[in-house]
Parts: sequence; C-alpha cells; structure tokens
Amino acid sequence: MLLVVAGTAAVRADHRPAFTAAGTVPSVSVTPAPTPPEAAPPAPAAASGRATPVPRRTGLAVTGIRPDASFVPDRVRVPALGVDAQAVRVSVGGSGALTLPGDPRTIGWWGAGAAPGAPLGTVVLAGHVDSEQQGAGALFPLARAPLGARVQVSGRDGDATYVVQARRRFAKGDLPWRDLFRQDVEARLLLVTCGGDFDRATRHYTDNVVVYAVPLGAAAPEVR
Amino acid sequence: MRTRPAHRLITRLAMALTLAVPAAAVAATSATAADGNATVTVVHGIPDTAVDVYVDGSKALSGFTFKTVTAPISLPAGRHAVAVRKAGDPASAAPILSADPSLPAGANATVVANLTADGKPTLTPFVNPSSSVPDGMARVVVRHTAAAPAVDVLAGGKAVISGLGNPNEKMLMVPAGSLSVSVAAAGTTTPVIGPVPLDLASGSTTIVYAVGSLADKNLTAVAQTYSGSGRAPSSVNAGSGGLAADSGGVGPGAGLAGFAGAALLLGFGLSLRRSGASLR
Repeated sequence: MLLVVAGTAAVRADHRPAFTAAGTVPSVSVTPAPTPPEAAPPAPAAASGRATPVPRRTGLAVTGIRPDASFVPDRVRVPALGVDAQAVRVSVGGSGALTLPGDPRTIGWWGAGAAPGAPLGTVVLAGHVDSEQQGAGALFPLARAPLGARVQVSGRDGDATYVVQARRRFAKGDLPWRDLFRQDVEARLLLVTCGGDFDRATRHYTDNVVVYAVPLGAAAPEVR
Repeated sequence: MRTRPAHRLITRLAMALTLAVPAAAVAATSATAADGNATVTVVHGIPDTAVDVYVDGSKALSGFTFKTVTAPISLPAGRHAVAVRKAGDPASAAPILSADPSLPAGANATVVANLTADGKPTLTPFVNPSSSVPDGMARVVVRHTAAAPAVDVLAGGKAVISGLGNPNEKMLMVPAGSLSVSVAAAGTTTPVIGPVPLDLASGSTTIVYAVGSLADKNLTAVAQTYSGSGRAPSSVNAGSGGLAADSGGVGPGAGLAGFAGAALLLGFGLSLRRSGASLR
C-alpha cells in the first residue's frame, strides 16, 4: 500500500476549516487616554473573515501599588488544543522581527515584554506554525483556539492561567504591532503565529494569527 | 503570590579585565544576549567586615565595605569563581566565602554577601527581573538578606508585603514617583528599618535589600536601580512549512503542490483497488 510521505503533507490545506475571528480584544489602559485620542488601528484585512474592529476601552487611572508575581516561563499548555510546549526567552532582532526558536515545537517568550504573573502589560508568546524541516509546530492548532480555553503558563518561580478572550488574523503588512505589544495595559497574554495563504516562492505565510487571553479571574463573565 | 526562594548559585561569572579597576569606575552597561554578556551587581551586606572580592583568581573589589552596592559590571557569559577574603589578606589566604556562579548571556544578576536568618555569612545570588515595566509605573523588589525573622514591608502605614523571610524576595508594581517604605517584624507596624525614601522613575526597577543583624541593632536597607526596555517587535514571521495554509498556496509551485497532493491520493486509491479494498 502506498504510504503517505512526510506525515501530513499529502492531505491538508483544502480541508483546513476557514479562520473565524471571534471575541473582544482585551485592551484596558492603565493610564488616562492621551488627548486627542489615538486613531483606532486599521480594520483587519478581509481575508480574516468577519473580524470586527479592535475595541479599546481607556481611561482607567493608575491604581496604586500591586503585587508583582512575575516569573520567567518555561512551559505553555493549552489543553483544549493539545498544546504542551517548552518556552524560551526570545528578543527582537535588528529588523524589528521577533526572533523565534528555530524548532517550531518550542515557543518563544518575548523577554522584554511582560512576564506572566505581572499585574500589567502584554505577555507575548510566539511560535512557528510549522517549518519546512520539522513540520507542524506547537502553535499549529492556534487558529481554532476556542473562546474560554485555558492557557497555562509555568516556570520555576511561578505559574499563571489565562482565559482566551478573542481570536484575530491580520495580513502581515497590517499587523497593529503598536497596539498588540504595548505594555500600558491591564495584564493580558497573546499567542502569535502565522496563517492565511502560503507563498511557496518566499516560504512565508501571508497573515499573523493572534489569540488574546486575560488572567483567570479577570476574564469577562460571558467568556470564562 | 508565591514567595521566591533565592536561586541556586548562578554558575560562572565571567571575569573580565575591567574588574581589575575599582567598581565605581566600571561603566554601567546593559547586558544583551546578542553581545554575549551578562550584568552583575555586588552588594555588601555583612556588618563590620571589609573584604576583597576575587573573580577567577584576580582581585576585583578592594576594601569593599558594609552597605556598599557596586555599579553594574558587564561580564562575558559563562562560569566564574568568586572568592571573598578579609580585606588585606593575601590571595593565598582561605576565602571567607566562595561561589561558582554561571551567567547566561543577557542575564542581569546581583550577588549579595549577607547574613543568613541566623547570622552566618553567606553569598546569595539573585536573578534580576528584566521584563517590562509600563510607562508611569515602577517595579520595586524587596529582598530579605538580613539576620532577622520574617518581615512585612509597609507603605502608607499598611503592609504591602507580608511575611517575607530570608533569603526570599517579593515584587511590587508601583506608580512612579516618591514612595516611603519601612520594614517591620511580620505582623507588626513598628519599623525596624526605615522609613526609606524611594524615588521611583517611570519604567525603572528598584531593588531594596534588608541587610545587617537585628540582634546587633545594625539592620538597614541598601538599594540598586536600573531601567531599560526593549523595543516592541514590528513583525512576527512564524512559519515556513506551508502546512497551515488556507488553500493550495500562492506563487510558483502552488499548483504543482496541489497536483502532487492529488497524485498521492490517486496512487493511494489505485493501490487499494489492486489489493481489493474498496475506496471509502
């Protein structure tokens, strides 16, 4: 019997469900909004489906002293997606691109962003959806993360659980990076990978998939 | 909130020639993983004991006294031997304290010469946080490195940290500006240290060390401060395999890939037919 070569290579993309944006992006500022208010980021490209504009609530004043339970993460689990991966610290390269671990089964934690356990800021976890050499990565199933899914982040000095609040997909050229990676927000966590169409000449995907989560306990009542 | 224990000794502090000069003259540089360096600050928290600090066999700090905090020292990543001798003792003399820390590239660490809870001299390494501090806020870290029982840290008359013991640390995120803190025996509000005025710049981290000995009535606090934030990424390229593509892919070869996929399916079907199994 003819065997399928290279795992999933033979039967795949045509059967992959279409991406659907969902949920409300968590974006609660910790300082009063500047005047005049910043323009809302551009609406996501049509390719990402029925995405709604990113809502933004502002005006929460600095509230005082808060415990900071920041810890360095080394493991990320999303049980609803079967994700259980090692995490390592990564940084931004000269071109402004986040430098991801070469092995797509390892997730990168942006070390200069927020740490999990911090009361404020955006924790960024990113990983290759797949690679030419190694196939599917840890975040391969990210695009279908259900609202309410738990994201468990742990390290030697702590652990924290987050709850998925929203899914979005952006054409790479439209990635609202100033909004995504800002730190003057109530604690939230992003999982980022690639998706959309794939350009075989450049071996790049056209889009970024972003899943947003907030700490358990801060999750909106309708999305626990 | 979990109380953080002191980390196992960071192995290997790389010894650079720059350590041969007095610590205050060493330029404070921020370590980056890209340049393969790490940053180490040394805190002297043992009363009445002037020391010389050797790194990898060379004297790095001369006549280092109680309550002194060095400027940050940039060192190549790797393992280093740290030996602390009584000030003026020859290099051949037995060290009072020694450690063998290893610093990964990009690490920011502090090594404290301090007393344990029951008054014994020791070396305690800490990894310093380098994750973000939002604009308008400041991070405050309090480390209990004194010969004293567990303490509370008070601000505005109330405990903002409770039950912190030697050699642990707890952290706070605080609005930038002036903040006065004091340290009291856990569960009490009578200061044993302070009030300590802190000037917290936006985006900065201030690490406060309780040092000295309660029994010897020389408890005090010393501090180090640093700032620095990384710029945000502007792009994330996260995939080169094509397995997650919506469709057969765009660009040269896309059609071929689809064809190859179909051919494999067809081949599979043919072989099933030959073996007598039915398709679906």
